[in-house]
Amino acid sequence: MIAKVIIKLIRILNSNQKVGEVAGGIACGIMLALIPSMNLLWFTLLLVTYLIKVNFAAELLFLAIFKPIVPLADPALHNLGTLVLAFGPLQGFYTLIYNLAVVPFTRFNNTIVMGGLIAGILLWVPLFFLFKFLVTLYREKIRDKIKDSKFVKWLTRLPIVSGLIKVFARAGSIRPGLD
Amino acid sequence: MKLGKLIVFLVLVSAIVVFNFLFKDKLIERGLEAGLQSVFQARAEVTDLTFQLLKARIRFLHLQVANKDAPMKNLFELGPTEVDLSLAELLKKKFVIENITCREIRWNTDRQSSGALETAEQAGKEPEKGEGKKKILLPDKLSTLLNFKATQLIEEQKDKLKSFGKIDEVNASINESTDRWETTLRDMNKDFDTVSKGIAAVTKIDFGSLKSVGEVQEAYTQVEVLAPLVNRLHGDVDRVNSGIREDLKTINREIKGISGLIEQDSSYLKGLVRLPEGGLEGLMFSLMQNYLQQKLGRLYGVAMKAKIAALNMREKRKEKKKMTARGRGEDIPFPTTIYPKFLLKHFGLSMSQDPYTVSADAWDISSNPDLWNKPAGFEVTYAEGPRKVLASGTVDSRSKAEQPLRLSLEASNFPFELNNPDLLKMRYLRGTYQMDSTLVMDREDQTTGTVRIRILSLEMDAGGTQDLITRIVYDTLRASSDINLDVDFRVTQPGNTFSLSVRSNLDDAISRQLGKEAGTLVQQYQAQLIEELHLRLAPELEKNKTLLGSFKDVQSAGLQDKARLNGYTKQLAAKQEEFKQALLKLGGSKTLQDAVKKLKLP
Repeated sequence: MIAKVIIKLIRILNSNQKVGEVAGGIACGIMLALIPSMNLLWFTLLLVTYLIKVNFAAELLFLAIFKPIVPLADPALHNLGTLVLAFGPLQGFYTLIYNLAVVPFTRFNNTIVMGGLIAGILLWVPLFFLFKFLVTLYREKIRDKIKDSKFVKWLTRLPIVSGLIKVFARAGSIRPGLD
Repeated sequence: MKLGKLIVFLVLVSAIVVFNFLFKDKLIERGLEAGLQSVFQARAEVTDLTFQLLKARIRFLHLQVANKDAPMKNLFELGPTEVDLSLAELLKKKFVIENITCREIRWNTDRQSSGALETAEQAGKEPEKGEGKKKILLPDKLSTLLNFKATQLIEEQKDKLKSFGKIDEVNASINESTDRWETTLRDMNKDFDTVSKGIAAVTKIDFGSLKSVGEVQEAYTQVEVLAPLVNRLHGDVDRVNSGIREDLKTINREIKGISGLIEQDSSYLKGLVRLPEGGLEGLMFSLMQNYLQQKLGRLYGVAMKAKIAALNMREKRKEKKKMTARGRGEDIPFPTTIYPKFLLKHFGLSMSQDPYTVSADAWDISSNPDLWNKPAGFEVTYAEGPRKVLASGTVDSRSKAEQPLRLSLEASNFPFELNNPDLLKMRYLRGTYQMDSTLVMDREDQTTGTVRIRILSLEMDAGGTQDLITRIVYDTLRASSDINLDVDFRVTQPGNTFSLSVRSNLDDAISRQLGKEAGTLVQQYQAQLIEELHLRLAPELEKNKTLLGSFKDVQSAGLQDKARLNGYTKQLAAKQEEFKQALLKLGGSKTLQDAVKKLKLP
């Protein structure tokens, strides 16, 4: 499983996808990970990110990576959500949407949903630029060094690793990234 | 790739929007028509239907369904109709109906074009319902006066007359006492016989002729045995005589009580033939008795059905508290209306079919009245020519409702007819009336109500009767231009006990007239009644005297026993004295003196 994730990550990083799309996908994935799932808000954001031009695979990958970690941030998200939901000038607006037909299904009135949403939005831009920088850095400076390193060459010669590479190459074209 | 997905998405959304604006209403209209046509097998037409999905609202201006057996007639027609649900609550699995109205419902109206379909089949029939009437029995003072027979009346009232029962009770008590003391005296006779024989034997002893200790001892033993027996018999006789005396006192006291009860019974019987007090308030009620029973019983029946229906609607389970933490975080509640699982905010319909017009409205019907915190209300109006009825009320099934049921009924120009009324020798009384009534049920299920009836026109036929009451009522009613009845009624639980109080503006007039003519009659009746009572009680009282005589005989026997016993005691005392003298005479002999010293004297 972990190998699969690593290979997938390598594949994404090495693909010809635009850096911005990959970074956007990663930022969206982290944002979705911050928001508790199984509510209308989460599914709507997932649909929107599916429709906009970001790398959806990167998004799902980072969603899967961060989802188990995010509960550690729940106390902070709860505090942030409480702060936002208790914000006086917005009470009228909250009451209005709370009484609408569909909006309550977003669970916007849950402190962690609201905290996750706000944190996700606030973090999206820094994360986007951070990962854009990191992906560019990887592609330009690190990828070739890793590729040519003795360790990687030794690793790819191992029967188990080469077997895995063949399996993934058959399932989806993994070769371009590794060759 | 992303642009392609976006285009597909936008096309899909646009298609939904276009369908919503251009085709949705028409399609639903056609669907509804097709559905109705398949059900009724005749042409159905719906016009100006509007369906709003996001508001969960459907409305149309007109709907008509043809009669398949008469294609140029409509089976029914509906005017402006609206069904408005709350989508937000539907999504929460709650059925909240903001409004259901259906106006101008009509049947069998003419069509401009044939409503026949190519195929048609028979439609079903509605079952008819019958409604049972509840008979309510009410007290009736006047019937006693009008159908007076002293013997029959006493026989009817015997259970309520206390003197009969008391005399029986006292007689039984005397009998029991007599039997008891007779048995006791009989039992004591055995002891008397023993004492009598003992005394006879002791009397025969001649103490002067006794010469030896053995003879003295023998004589003394006879006295010794007899003395305690006489003493015990004294105690028994005293106790018996005392008991007899006490019983006699009790019997005399109870016999005195009988006289008081006879007085009470006489007053009670007189009351039965007395003219009703307070302006003859029962008269108008008696006249209207059957009619009021029917109307009030029906009103109460309707009210109870409404209450039961409201209670049945209550949710069986308590609603779960909504605001609980789901998974992580905390749900912050914002002000909102929490609806019960079922709520009908407003329901209205009106229908007209010459000559009837009916309209009905109901509101705030909910499965959880405590949550909705409003009582369910309704209003029904019915008009048929000049006749009009307006019924309105509230059914409050909240747990802390002060008045679970409140009903008011107004009716005008309704006819009534009383044929051969029970109390009056009249053929009929008929007319029209106007009625305002209210009925309120409190938390203890006690129902109180008032009814004000105004008789607008009155026709009657007395048939030339000479009956006193009929004649007076007939004359009074004829002379009155305005007849009002005020009825207060109360139904108490358990058992639905119905009590009524009726006042009329004619009560005083009738009472005065009746009082004049009936006063003498009443006095005669009362005298007859008392005479009959005493006649009926005489044998019982005679029996009482006889029994008392027997008991006194028992008392005499007891006293005689006492006298006899006193004689025995005297004889025994004399013999004891004699015995002492005999001992003195024997004093010379030392041996005998020593022997006598050893004797135990009584």
